[in-house]
Amino acid sequence: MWPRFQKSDLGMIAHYLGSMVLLIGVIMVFPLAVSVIMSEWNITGNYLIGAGAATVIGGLLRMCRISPGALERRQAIAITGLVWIVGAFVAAIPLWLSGHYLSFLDALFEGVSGLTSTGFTLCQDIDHLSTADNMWRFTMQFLGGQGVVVIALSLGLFSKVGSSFYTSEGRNEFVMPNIKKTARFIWQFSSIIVIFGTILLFTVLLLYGFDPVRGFFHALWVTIGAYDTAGFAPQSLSIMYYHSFPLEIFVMVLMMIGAVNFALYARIWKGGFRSTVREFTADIEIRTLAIWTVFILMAFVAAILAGSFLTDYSGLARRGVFTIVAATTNTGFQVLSTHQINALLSSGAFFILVLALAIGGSSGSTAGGIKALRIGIIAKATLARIKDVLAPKSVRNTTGYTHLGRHLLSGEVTGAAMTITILYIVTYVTGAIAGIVAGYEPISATMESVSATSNAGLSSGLIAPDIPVYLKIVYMLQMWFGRLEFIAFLAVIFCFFASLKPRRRAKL
Amino acid sequence: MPVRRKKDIAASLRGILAVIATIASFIVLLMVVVVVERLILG
Repeated sequence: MWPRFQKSDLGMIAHYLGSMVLLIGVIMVFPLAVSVIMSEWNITGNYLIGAGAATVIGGLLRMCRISPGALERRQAIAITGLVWIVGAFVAAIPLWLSGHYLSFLDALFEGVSGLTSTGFTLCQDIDHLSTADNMWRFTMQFLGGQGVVVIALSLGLFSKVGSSFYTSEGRNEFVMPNIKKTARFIWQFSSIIVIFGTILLFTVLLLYGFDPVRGFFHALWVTIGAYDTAGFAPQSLSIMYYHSFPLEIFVMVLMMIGAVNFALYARIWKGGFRSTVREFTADIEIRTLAIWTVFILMAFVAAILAGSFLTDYSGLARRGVFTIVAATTNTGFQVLSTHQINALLSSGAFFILVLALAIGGSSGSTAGGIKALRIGIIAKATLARIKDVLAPKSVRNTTGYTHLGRHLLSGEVTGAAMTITILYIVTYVTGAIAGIVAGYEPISATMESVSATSNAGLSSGLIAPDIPVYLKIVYMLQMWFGRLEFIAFLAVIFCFFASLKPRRRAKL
Repeated sequence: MPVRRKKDIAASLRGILAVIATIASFIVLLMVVVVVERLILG
């Protein structure tokens, strides 16, 4: 029987959901401050309205239950699922008011894309978007990349919550002894990377002749986009706009840092150099990611060389490597134009790009997709099964794997990895069919579907304001599903429908 | 007021202060960059 929400559950959920919406409203102070400092007065009003709406909605929700008790697991999962929906609606308000979106649905799509750190955009004339609006787009990506719940936990805003609140956001590893310290570590580590990344890119952009203020914002935004493997770019040409090889190198490093598990960084943080090297080389996820990246890069290069595009080696090294790193880390930054992707890349290279997007980076990182850990576990379980078949009946083999310590490869672990992998594949296929039904090329429809579900944002150009409304809704659902790794979202849906069903009376 | 409740409120206050401090540092940094560009570099 599916668990049902009672009236008391709804009050609890509303209270904590309200706190999260209030937090989003407070964070709107960032773009608000930017609009004031940059004298973008017409934009200031939009953020005052946005923050005001968040305050009213959040305040009303909090009033549903004045003094909440400790959260239960299903309540925590429901809050996590709902905050990504309600948060996107609130985040879309100032974007819609900016006049750069054809409808509220387009602004909502941008909100979902930003918060899920996907990077798809339906913005009109992005090159002339105000500094404050761009600041909000990238703030959303930072918020979404770390996890809205993680940020709230790290700030100590929820003292009466259990570990379920943290794990429901698609993170399974505890890097520190308790939940608050874990969340705080993620937040602090990310802030340090963003500060260093911004300084580095700011220096590069200054050397390339950018004005300090513009250079500062572009450096900050590109750093957030790269580290959070998000993929929004302040210019329509994405990273191509800068024509800077050093910048591309730094961006690649940031994307790779973002695609590695936070838990591994915490171990390194606590341990010495020797343990660092041992942890890195023995970890099943790092090994899978390294093998997969090298394999996919070689296949991509071979597929490109088989076609007529990028036959010069320097161009191949620069654009090919960047594209594969952006795809495997699920970032979505582009150094190839939409025309080059569609018309000049061979269908084989295109397909390999889709494969890279589908697998993604590490679990517990800012990257999306099926994740290298699950692929590693499934591969190891397959080998163990073959070993079992070949072994004499009296022999019982046990297989282990190293990932933040040594673990036994149990049926439960393999089953969990298989379930999520199958859910990803089903969602990839469903989205692709939705695109094909709308009349788009199968390969383009598949790429957009995979890109949406894996929160990558690499586009073949299909995502545009004129796509059918139902397709926008399908992609939004895919982005939500992918970001929360299905469970939180499916739990909310199933619990909601179970609660609507009338109770059966017991037969006397 | 129970000790546990006091601790909860203190943790929440620290969180709010952290948000305010982050926003304030960002604003100060941004203003420094703007002032450098407008006054020193013209």
